[in-house]
Amino acid sequence: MAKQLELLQGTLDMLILKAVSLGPMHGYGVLLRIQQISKDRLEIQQGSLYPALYRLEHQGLLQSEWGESENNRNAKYYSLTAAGRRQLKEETRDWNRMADIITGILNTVPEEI
Amino acid sequence: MKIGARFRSWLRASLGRARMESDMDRELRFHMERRAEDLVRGGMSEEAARRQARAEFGGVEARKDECREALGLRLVDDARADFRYMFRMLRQSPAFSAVAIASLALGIGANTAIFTLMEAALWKTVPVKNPEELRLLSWVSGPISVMGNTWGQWTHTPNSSGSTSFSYAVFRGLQRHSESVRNLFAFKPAGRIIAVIDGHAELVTSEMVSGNFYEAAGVSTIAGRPITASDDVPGAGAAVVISESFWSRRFGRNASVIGKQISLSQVPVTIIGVNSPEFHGMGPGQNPDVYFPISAQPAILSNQYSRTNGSLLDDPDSWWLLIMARLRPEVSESQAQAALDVVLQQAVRESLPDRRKRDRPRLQLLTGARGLDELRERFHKPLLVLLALAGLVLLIACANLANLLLARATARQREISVRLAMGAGRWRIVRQMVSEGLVLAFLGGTVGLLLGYWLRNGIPSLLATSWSASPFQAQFDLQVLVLSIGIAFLTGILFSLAPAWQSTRVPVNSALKDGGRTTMSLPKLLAGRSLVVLQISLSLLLLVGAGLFVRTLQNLKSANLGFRPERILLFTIDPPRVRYAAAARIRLFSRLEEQVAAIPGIQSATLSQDALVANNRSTTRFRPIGRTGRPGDQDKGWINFVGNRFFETMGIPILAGRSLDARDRANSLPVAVVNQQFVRSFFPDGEAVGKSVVNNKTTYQIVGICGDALFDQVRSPAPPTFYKPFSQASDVRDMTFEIKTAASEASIVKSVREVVRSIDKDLPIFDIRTQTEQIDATLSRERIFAALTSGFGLLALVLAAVGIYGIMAYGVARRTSEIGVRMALGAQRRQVLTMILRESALLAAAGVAIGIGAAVGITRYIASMLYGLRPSDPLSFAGAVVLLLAIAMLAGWWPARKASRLDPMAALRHE
Repeated sequence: MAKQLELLQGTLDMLILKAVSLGPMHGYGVLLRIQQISKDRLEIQQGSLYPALYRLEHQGLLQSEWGESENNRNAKYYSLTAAGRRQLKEETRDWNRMADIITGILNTVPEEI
Repeated sequence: MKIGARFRSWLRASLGRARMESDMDRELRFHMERRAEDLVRGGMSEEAARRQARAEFGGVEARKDECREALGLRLVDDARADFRYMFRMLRQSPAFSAVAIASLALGIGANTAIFTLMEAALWKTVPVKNPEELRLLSWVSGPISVMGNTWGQWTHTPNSSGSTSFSYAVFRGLQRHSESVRNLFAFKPAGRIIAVIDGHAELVTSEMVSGNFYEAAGVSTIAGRPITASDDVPGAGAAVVISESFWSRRFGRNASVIGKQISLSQVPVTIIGVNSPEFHGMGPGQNPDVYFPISAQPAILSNQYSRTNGSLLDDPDSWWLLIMARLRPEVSESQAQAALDVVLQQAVRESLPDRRKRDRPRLQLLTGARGLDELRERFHKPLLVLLALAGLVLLIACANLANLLLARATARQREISVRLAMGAGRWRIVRQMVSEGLVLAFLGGTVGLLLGYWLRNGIPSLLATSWSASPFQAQFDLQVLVLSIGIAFLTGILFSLAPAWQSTRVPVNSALKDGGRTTMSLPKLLAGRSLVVLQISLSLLLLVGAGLFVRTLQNLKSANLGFRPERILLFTIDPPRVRYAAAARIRLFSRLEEQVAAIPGIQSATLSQDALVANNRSTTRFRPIGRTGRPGDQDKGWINFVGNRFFETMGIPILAGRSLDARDRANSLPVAVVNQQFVRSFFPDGEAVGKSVVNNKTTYQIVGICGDALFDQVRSPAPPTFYKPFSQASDVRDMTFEIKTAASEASIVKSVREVVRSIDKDLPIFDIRTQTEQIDATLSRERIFAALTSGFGLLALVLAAVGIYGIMAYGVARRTSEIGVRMALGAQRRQVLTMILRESALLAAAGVAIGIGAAVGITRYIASMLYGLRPSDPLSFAGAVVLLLAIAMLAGWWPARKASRLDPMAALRHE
């Protein structure tokens, strides 16, 4: 297994929004999905997931609903609201621009200055 | 939008808190169970998988807290914890809580009650449309006023005179040229008149209004129609509107009352409408039963002083109407005043052409928002004084609470240090202590509001008498409620802030080290002591006030009246002028006097135009025959029209000459009896019997001199008084009968009613009271003050005792080990006792000294409310000082005795 990277500060919310945008999911499912997509290369504190979910729901970016899980158990399913979808789009754009700039800076060689 | 979402989420979470908690629980459990299942699938044993899942998740409770915080529930939770903690603390010390809540409740209750009164007497606007636009017209002039008679409020000084009364001619003149104001209307409270409804005679209160009154003032009716201009013309069949309360009281809210015929002063009138319930007439605290158009005045309310056959409408020399104007938004008040003044000048010139040499009245606009503001003058100062006293009580209660909380904060010093050491924020501790104060204030305020609500009509009802209603009804409305809640809130903050702030300044280490046991933190005790000194000085102020007012009432009650009020029954009769005017009126009263006197069980019966000590005053000018010179103020004397046996019945001694008797008839020589003061004023040589004086163009012979008896009120000494037989008068007002009897009031009243009914069945007798009740009624304000200030003083005394006891008991507890050391070193119990007592005496003495200084400075402002003593009355001061010192010693005695009985060994080991 490759070495796990610690999550950058403030990126958990974005990842959660992305995971939920792929289809309504309960908290554990969100965790699994992020790990699956990242191929287990990110280390996520399981407990910190829930305060983040609550915060996003409090901000009106997520909405939740109790539903039935895979093995007939009740679970709380989160889905994206319109505001959440807008927020995800904005954050993705910002992230990409930021990543470009950072990459650009980090790849700079002395001759280019 | 985001804020909206957050607020909705917060609201959902806080309202559905239980559900939110259980959901969170289920959600987290589901997560860990699923994780464990996955781990089992990976080959782990079930037991190990569950442990692993929990470990990976981390501290569940901490996570839950984070979730709650994410929902914005933290503040609510903290506050809730604070309040829970606080109620626990309050329950733990019930004595403290009871004293705190009770003292606050009394302070806030007193303030609420006074506020209710102030609102009713000083602030409430008259219930019409846009009252702030209204202006009441008034005039001022030099001392020689242009008109002959005024009916209503009138002020007169050597250099000026003024009034709010105008003649009907002036009103019409103003109305014709009233372009400068939106509209101009008139009214006049007309007092009590006799109504006959369904054959039953009764007294109703009335108000006259101009035809445009309802429209201009914006008063509506809930049944029928209002009075309109077409009702206010001479000869219109009189139409009246009745008040909603009269409609309920007398007609059971029956709609068929519209169109009903009743009679007012024997004049048939038709009820055309019922006022809306909010309207209570133009004067605060008045609630006239019937409103009739001004044009009906000559018929319904014929006036004995009018020169034009009872009509005030045709007599430009009688000024009586009250006029209001509604300002136009585009015309300034001074412009309107100037414009109306011009019209007034013209109207006066036209209606009273022969008064060129008299002083011209100048028009002045007064605020009309409160209608006729008669209560303000009477109650403004007394209410301010009462409010100041109630404020003092509240301040004392606050000082007391601050002190108690301070002592407790010090006692909790160790606990607070521990909490500070464990990382509690100082702000959090301050918040907790302030919210403790707020809870106390809230509880005290709630009880106080209930108390204020319960007391709201207590003071007005003290102003009422068995025969007349209170001049105002206090209403407990939103304003008062908000004001009281504000006060409770402020006091809560005020008295808890100081102790709270101080408690957080504790240096954590030292407080933890010694457990707040042996150090006597000087500033802390100093704060407590200065609070007690403040409390004592304020209490002294209240006690001195109580002493002054109680002694004033005593002095008034024991004042020499000059007559004997015992066992005298009074009642009043006011025959309608339509049936009884001038000579017929005199004949009726003579007949009544004769027949009432003949009732078995009556020792002596008489009657007089002015009842004694009833705030009535009738003054006129006299000129002794032979005296020359211009008439002036020195010729003023008081006059009363009396029956023959007046002096005998009232117990006023005849000192020289004879009393009035059967010889003095309508057509015999006009005679009079005068009092000693009259002789002193008009006959400096002391010889008066047989002399003659001229009054109102009639020459009277003085046949007797009687002792000085009070006239209008206890406060004024007996004025020069001229008693004239009513049988020789050309006319009289209403007359009050005085009956001396040993029989019961009820049986006499019954017999009197029968006698009166046998003469005229539509003649009600009213204002039945004893002479003693009559005198008491004029002292109602003094009685209220004596009662309230005594109550406040007593309360202050109790609070001072609690304060001194608290600080001394606390001091003794803190100094237990020190006292132990002293005793071990040989101090006698007596010495310990005196040491502690000396301390409380010192506190009390300091407070008393400051209090005396303040009282000397302040009491002179109430000098005019006192009687028979000076504001620096030594007896009141001495009484207050002695009482307060005694209470201070008593309160200090208990802790002192406890200190002196300490077992030195136990005290030394005391932790």
